[in-house]
Amino acid sequence: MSSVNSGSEAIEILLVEDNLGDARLAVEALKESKLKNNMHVVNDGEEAMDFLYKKGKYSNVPTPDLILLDLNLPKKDGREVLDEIKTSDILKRIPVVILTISKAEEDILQAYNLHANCFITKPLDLDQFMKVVKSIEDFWLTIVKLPHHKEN
Amino acid sequence: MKKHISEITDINRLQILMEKFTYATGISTAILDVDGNIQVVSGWQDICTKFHRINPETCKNCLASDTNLANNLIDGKKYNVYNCLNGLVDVAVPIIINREHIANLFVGQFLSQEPDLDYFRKQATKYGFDEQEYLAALSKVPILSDQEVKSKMVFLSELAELICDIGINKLELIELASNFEKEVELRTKDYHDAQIATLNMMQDVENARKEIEASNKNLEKAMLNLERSNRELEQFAYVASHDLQEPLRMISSYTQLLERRYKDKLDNDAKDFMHFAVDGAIRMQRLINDLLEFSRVTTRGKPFTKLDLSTVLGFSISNLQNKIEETNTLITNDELPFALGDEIQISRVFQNLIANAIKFKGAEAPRIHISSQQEGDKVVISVKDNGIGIEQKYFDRIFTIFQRLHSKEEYPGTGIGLAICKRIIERHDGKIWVESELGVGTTFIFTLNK
Repeated sequence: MSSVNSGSEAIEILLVEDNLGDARLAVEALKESKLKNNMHVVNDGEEAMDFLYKKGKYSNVPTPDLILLDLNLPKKDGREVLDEIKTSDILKRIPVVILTISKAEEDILQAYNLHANCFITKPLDLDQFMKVVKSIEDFWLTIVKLPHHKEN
Repeated sequence: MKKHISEITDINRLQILMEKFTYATGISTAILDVDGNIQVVSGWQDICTKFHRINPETCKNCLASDTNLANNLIDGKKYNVYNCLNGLVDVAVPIIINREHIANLFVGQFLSQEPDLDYFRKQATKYGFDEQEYLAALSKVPILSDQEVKSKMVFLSELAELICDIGINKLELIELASNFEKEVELRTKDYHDAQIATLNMMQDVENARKEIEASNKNLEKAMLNLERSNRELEQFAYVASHDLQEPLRMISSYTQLLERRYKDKLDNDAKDFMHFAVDGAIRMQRLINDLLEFSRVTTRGKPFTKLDLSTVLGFSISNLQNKIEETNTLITNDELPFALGDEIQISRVFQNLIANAIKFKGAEAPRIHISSQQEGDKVVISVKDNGIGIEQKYFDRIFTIFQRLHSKEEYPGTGIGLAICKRIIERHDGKIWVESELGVGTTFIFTLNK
C-alpha cells in the first residue's frame, strides 16, 4: 500500500491493481493533478475487501470516495469484488470505475450487469492514459455530486 | 470316343439270345470285340473247345481264322465266310454302331459237306488227338448246305443290324444321359461357383465396409485432434497476445514517462533513442492487438443472423466518416441483398476493404462502388476502387497475416486487414478474392450464404 497525502481535504481513492507498474502510472498521473488526493493501492481482491471493511491492518483507513478496479486480480477476482461492493449496503454508493486492458464485449457487459459505474479500457499510449486518469478524476470527483458517506 | 460293345449292349442278354439260337439251329456262335476278345460264346463244338483250341498248333489256326474273318469285315462287307485251317467253316458278321465297327458276330464250326474222314484222321495223328474221340466230336459238327448257310446268314445279319440299332439307341441314350449329366454337372458347378462368388463378394463387401469403418474412425480421430489443436492454438494466440500486452505497456509507458519528466535533462541522442524504444513498443503493441483480433474472429465470433447488407455497409461507412471526408472519397452502392452472418464481423470486412481502398488511393480522389450479384444460394459482393492496383503475382500474398507489399513509411499498417477479412469470410463458409489492374484499380469480391 502506498499513499499520497496532500492535506486534510484530500479526496480518497482506492486503486485495486495487481500490476505495480500500472498502479504507479496511475499514481504518477494523479500527481500531475490539481486536486488534492490520497491514492491507496492494494494488489488483490481480498486486500481490497479488507480495506473497504477496515479489517486488520486497514482498521484506520478512510472509506474511499472512488474505487478504480482492475478485473483480473489474484485471489479474489475483480468481478467478485465488484459484486460484493454493489451488494453491500455500506459500500454500494461508492462509484466503481473498472480500469482494465480488456476490450472484450463480454467483460464490458458483465461489469455493467454487476453495476459498475463505468468501464474504461486502459489506453496503450501514456498521454492517453494520463488524460483518462485526469478525466476520471475530473468527472467523478469534481463534476458528479455524490452522497456524503464520511459519517457512515 | 469309340465305345466297347459291353458298354452299348447287355452282354448277358446277348449270351442268352445266342444260346437259344444255338439250341434252335445247332450252330455255334461267338461275339468278339475288334481286338479279338471273346464277349459271347454259345454251343461251341467239342472239336474246337476240346481239340483245336487246346493244341497250340491248331489254336494258332483258330486265331488266324478269327483274325482273317474280322479283318475282311473291315471293308464294309455284310458278312464273310471262311474255311478254317482246321477244316471247318466260319461266318462272321460285323456289328457296326454309328459307323464304328465295334464287334463281330461269328457263327461257325460247321461243315459245308460230308467231312473227309482221312483228313481228320491225319489231323488227329498230326496233333496227337485221340482219334476216336476226335472223330466223335467231328460227327457232332453239323453239315449245312450253302443255301442253309445263306438263309441263316440273312437272319444273323439282320439280328446283327437289330443289335446295332439297339446299340445305337442305347448309345444315344447314354450320350443324352451323359450330356444331361454333364449339363447337370456344369450347372451344379456354375451354381457352386456362383455361390462361392457370392460368398467372396459378400466377404469383399464386408472387408470394404470394415476398411471404410476403420478409415472413418481414423479420419474422425484426426479431425478431433485437428479441432483440439486448432482450439489450443487459438487459445494460445489469445492468451499470448493478451498477456504480452501488459509488459509492453510497461515498456512504452515508462519510456514515455521518462521522456515526459526528464525532457529538459536529456540530449537529442537520448531523446532519439527513447523515441525508437517507444515506437518499437507501440508497433509491437499494435501487432499483438491485431493478432488478438485475428484470433478473436473464430474464438469470439457471434452466431449468424439474417443481415441487411445495406445497413451493415452503412455502419462501416459511418465508422470511417472522418477518413472519408478528409480524403474526399465518394462511395456509392447498389441495393444490397440480405445474407447470413455475424453483423460485427461483416461490418468489419466492409470497413477493412473500404479503408484499404482509401489508403491505397491513386492520384485522384478515391471512388468506391459496392455492388452485388446472386449466384444460387450465394450472395457475391464486390468492392471496387480506382486506387493504385495490385500486381497479379501478389493476389494470394495480400491475404496472409502480416504480409505487406509496401514499406511502413509509404503506407502505415501491420498487414492484418485483409487476413482478418479472409478469416471472417471463411468462418462464414464464403470465399474472398481480388481482381486488379496496376494503376487502374482493384476489386475485392467475397461471397456469403443467403
